[in-house]
Amino acid sequence: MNTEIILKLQAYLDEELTAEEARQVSAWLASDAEAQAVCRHLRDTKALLAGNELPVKVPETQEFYWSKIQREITRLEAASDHEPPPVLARWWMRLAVPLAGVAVLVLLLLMLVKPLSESGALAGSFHEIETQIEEANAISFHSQAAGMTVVWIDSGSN
Amino acid sequence: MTKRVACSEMDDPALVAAAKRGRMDAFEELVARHRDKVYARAYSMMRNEDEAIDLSQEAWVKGWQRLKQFQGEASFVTWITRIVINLCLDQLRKQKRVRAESIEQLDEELGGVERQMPIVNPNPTDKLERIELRQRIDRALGQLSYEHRTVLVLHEFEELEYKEIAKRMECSIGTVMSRLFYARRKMAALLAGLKREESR
Repeated sequence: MNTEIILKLQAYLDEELTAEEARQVSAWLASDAEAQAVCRHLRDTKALLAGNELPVKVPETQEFYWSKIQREITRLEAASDHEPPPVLARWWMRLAVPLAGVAVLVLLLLMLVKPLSESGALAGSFHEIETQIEEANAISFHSQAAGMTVVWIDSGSN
Repeated sequence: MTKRVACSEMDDPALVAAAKRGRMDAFEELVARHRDKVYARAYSMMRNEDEAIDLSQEAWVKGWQRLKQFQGEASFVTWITRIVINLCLDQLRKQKRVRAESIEQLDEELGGVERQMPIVNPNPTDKLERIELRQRIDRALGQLSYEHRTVLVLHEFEELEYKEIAKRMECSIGTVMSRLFYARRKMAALLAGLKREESR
């Protein structure tokens, strides 16, 4: 009897075969004395072990046994309370700080630019021409779109 | 005012539910009820008292941490026993007790089956006291290799299917079948040997 057949017989006894396979093995068993002997041996050993595990008890009192479990649970929970944030959170924190700095800068720039656009009579892309001192013939030119200011002063000496 | 129910009066599902809500006393009651079963499984796999105590306690700690994952598909004791089995398997792997079995080795071993069958029948109908039989089985289990003992314990005592054993032991179903067969054969021989020794 070859190995494959012996292991198949074992699988049959352990109810690990499909219904079709089990039917085939069952039919074969009925007509093979050697297979019946192997099967009987396997079945006896299996029956001998079933439900015959030696009962074993913890060789410590419940209080002592539990105290170690409880201590470990408490220690782990305390440790998790003080644990650094998870990797993703730490990565986000590293990114968030410079992002916050950039955001503050943008906000400051907006605050500086906004009053200019609000105070001017010309909204949007406006140009402003202002004479500061009429006697001195000083003229300033400011272009919001070009982002420049030009001051031209005529001393009137001509 | 709602009266807090004593843990000793609660069944396992109620204790699990209470423990999930953070009641440590409920979890302590579960430990008290099932500690022997969990320890026994660790001991049957490790065959070492200290390791069995440590691993069973570790299983309870993990059980507490993972309690929210327990959805009650199996009984609580089955669930916690599976945790200790996995811890024992991990520990045994760490100790490098697991030997990689090559296909050649397996074939070589299996080739001897025909010559070695039939073997001594342990005769389960012997008029042995149950406790005596159990002691003999335990002694014989202690003499098996890690691979044979584990597969036998998981199949005969934990009633796991081949597929499940293969998954846990990280091997093929064919290896499980082979190991199981040799484990049974060795057990039968060892039990017969023990019987002969005692009758002298």
